[in-house]
Amino acid sequence: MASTSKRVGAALITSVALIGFSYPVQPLRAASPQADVTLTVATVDNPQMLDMISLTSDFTAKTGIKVKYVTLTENDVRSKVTTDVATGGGQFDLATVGTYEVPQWAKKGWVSNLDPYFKGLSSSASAAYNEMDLLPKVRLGLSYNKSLYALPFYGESSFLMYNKAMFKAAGLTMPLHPTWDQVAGFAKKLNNPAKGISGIVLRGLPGWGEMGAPLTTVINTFGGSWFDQNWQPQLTTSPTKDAIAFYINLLKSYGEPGAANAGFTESERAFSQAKGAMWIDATSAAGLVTDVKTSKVAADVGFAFSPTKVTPLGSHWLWAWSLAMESASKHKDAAFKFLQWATNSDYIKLVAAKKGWGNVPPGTRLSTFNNPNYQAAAPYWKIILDSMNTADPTHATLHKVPYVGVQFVGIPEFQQIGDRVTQNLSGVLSGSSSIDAALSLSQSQVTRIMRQGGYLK
Amino acid sequence: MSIGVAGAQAAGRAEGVRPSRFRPPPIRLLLLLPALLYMGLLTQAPFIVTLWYSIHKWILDRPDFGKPLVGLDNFTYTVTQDTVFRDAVLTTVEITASIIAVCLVLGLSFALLLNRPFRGRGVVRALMISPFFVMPTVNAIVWKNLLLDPSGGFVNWLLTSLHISAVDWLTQYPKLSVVAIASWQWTPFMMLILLAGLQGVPDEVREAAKLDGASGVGEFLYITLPLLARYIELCLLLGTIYVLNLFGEIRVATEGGPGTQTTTLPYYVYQTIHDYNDVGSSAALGVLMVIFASIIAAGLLRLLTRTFSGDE
Repeated sequence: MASTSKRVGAALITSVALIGFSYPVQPLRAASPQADVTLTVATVDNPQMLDMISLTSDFTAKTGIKVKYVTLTENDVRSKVTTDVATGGGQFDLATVGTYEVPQWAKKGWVSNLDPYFKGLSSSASAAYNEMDLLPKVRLGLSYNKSLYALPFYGESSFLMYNKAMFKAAGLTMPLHPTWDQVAGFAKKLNNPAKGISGIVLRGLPGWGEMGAPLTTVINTFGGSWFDQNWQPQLTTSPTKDAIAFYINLLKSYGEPGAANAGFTESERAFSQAKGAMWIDATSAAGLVTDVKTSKVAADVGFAFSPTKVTPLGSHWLWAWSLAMESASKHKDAAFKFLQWATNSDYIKLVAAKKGWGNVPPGTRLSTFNNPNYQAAAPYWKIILDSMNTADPTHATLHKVPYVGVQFVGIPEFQQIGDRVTQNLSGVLSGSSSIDAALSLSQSQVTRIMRQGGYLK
Repeated sequence: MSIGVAGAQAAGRAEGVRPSRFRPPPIRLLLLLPALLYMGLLTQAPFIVTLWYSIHKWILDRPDFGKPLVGLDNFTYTVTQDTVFRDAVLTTVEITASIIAVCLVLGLSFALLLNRPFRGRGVVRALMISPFFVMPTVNAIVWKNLLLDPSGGFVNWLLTSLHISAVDWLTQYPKLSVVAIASWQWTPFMMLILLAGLQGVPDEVREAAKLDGASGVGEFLYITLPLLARYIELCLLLGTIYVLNLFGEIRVATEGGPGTQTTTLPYYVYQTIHDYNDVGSSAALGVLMVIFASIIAAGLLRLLTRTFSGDE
């Protein structure tokens, strides 16, 4: 009897010990410098990133470092990486982050300062990377306290794409710098639901990075803002309220069917299948809608600057999908090598050689814009470069505001704020609630979030 | 412990061959203990941790706040002020009840049809069951992109071919769409249970009813249905437990929208942690969800035990 319980006890202790002691073995082995390093990279599933994944063998061949990818949609990658860095999980060595996250995460120490790594480079390696070739506004967007915390993989602003054939058939001309009133007029004239053509295509899918992005540029150019100097939400006050009503009504009257479920991908499909006369969205869409393989309207697309209302400030966004090193990473030197490889001008040339100049990750380097091959493949390059040079995240609203960011508010709470408000607005798009009801609900939700965040008393 | 055993053994000896009614089973208990501990740890530890989180304010992307204790603040806000929560409770009840009702009616009809002998019944039965084995997310994406898509979907192609104007299903009728998607998945489940029940209805009873001149409808209403009652209740209970947690379909097809029209409790819990990074509120919502589900399950369980133990 006593010996039985002893045996059981011994077995228990042994099994616990086995579980307990098997753990440290793994990290010890991984930490040894001789073993080959495998980097784990969390990335969004955008086409440019998928190209990077398919070309990674080039990096492994050059450095002997293996790379494992975790590929997710934009919303999921953000949430997964946030959880990982916030809890110090160290699951990922590198993560794709945008201009929204980088300054905030740098402040919290979640991502590593890259300046020491650049200082440690040999002069030839430094010249080969050429940091100053990165677009100045993009560098600004990825910096905190004047230090770089991420390197841009591709950058974008927003602009207007239109179907030249439809405009010509209706006898309309699109100015290079249109106003929102003109755009609304065109949308009204070209809207033809009987033929399955909508006057305009805009994002209506909830999410601060989905509908929230173009909506915020409209708020900015109408002279509004998400918050005033005292962090009071402005959703029920003019001109912010008018801007939101304008966007929603435009989309409801002349927008694509199923607008409440249309994000970037769905909008791109609608426009490139000739179901929409205009589309205002990311400049990185240009390569997609002019690709003869996937777009029915490839030869008919015209380009113009993003529309304005009372001010050009903040009328077009600035975004750069970038790669940053997590502070908890155990392979920082290898990770920095990967950063240099993926954001180098050599990488852009590699993509050009394999996939053509029309498919290179755009909007990060002046040398790309100045390359005659890129200019020939992307005749709209000047509009993109101009838009990217004039989108200033530190000066994006008519009146002074306490935050940075063009199409977002650079505070952690904005993710929830943007998601909630756009979700309420998608209810207006589907007809289940009214603008006024959605905005007053939003105002009370945002007030609670700002109070919880300690901005409001 | 060993004294107890010795005592019991001594008692057994004293009473002769007659086995004692009660004997403490220390070895059995000891052998069971690891499993019990494991089960307890596995099922109760997460809940206790959730309870712990629910009384704290912990927002993942605001590490500067730390994790201060806030008492019941998360609960009071959710219950008294959060209109989304209130709507989510109603939506959960509405969607769950609709799915269960549709599945029961369809499942019963299919089970009745499949209970009759015909050629190729085995193949048809296998085909009818197959939706249940499709992953919920795959199911939803097929419905969303191939069937219900406003411009290229099959349903609208069918409607426009019949000169009926196209409908944007997921926007205009989001709840109906979710119910349709989930019912397609869960009907086979109910059908299986009811089919098993039908096969247990003795043929003699039915024959006797026919000889007594019962019509088809009469036989169904007064013979088949009462004999199926406990299987229907089983469907109701199991279906409710599963469908209450419906998530994949909503996540993929509507993301809780438009607005918050298809935001159910499980989805709202997910949204609060996944999109809003608010661990405290999400944990509080999770606890409320457990209470909510327990109330419903307890009610149904009582109904079920009553029918199973009582006479029919």
